[in-house]
Amino acid sequence: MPNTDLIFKIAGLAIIVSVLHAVVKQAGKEEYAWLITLTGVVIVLSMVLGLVADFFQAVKSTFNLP
Amino acid sequence: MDIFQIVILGITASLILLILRRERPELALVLSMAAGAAILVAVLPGLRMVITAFSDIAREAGVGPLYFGIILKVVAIAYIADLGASICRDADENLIASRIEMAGKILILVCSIPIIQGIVELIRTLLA
Repeated sequence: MPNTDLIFKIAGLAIIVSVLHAVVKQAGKEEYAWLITLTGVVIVLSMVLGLVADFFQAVKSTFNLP
Repeated sequence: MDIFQIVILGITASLILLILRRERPELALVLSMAAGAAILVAVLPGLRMVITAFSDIAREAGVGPLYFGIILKVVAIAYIADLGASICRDADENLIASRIEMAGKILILVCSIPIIQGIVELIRTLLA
């Protein structure tokens, strides 16, 4: 049973980040727009790294690795 | 059926990626990573059944547990290296991807040294 909700979570976060980026850019704050993008990437990456760690753990236990 | 869910997950992720790649390429990379890991996590329980079946066969056939463990380790290294290399290639980093593949090959070679030593030992006993 693949977890689809993470995909949609990332997609929603990407939309929010895009909108915030556009709004802040329109307001003329280029440096804050860049910070918003960076924050979005860090949040999404921290969500995905948990999944990748789960995957590595599952591979380890499946193949009986130490 | 599991395959329907996996196919739907893949198609959905591809559709989202199609839009996301234009707007936020860095988030698109993370999303493709998540989709790939989710699909692989979904099929790992099936793989576990296959591996237990194969280890039963190997035990009945008298293959040493050392050699079978090495085979499992090699397959695991190949899977992980392929996942990492695919993600890097997806981000257009072909150099890192080929280095990851190279590292996988070297680690597989390191793992298989006991088998090579076993073959040499066998040849030596046959010749002596």
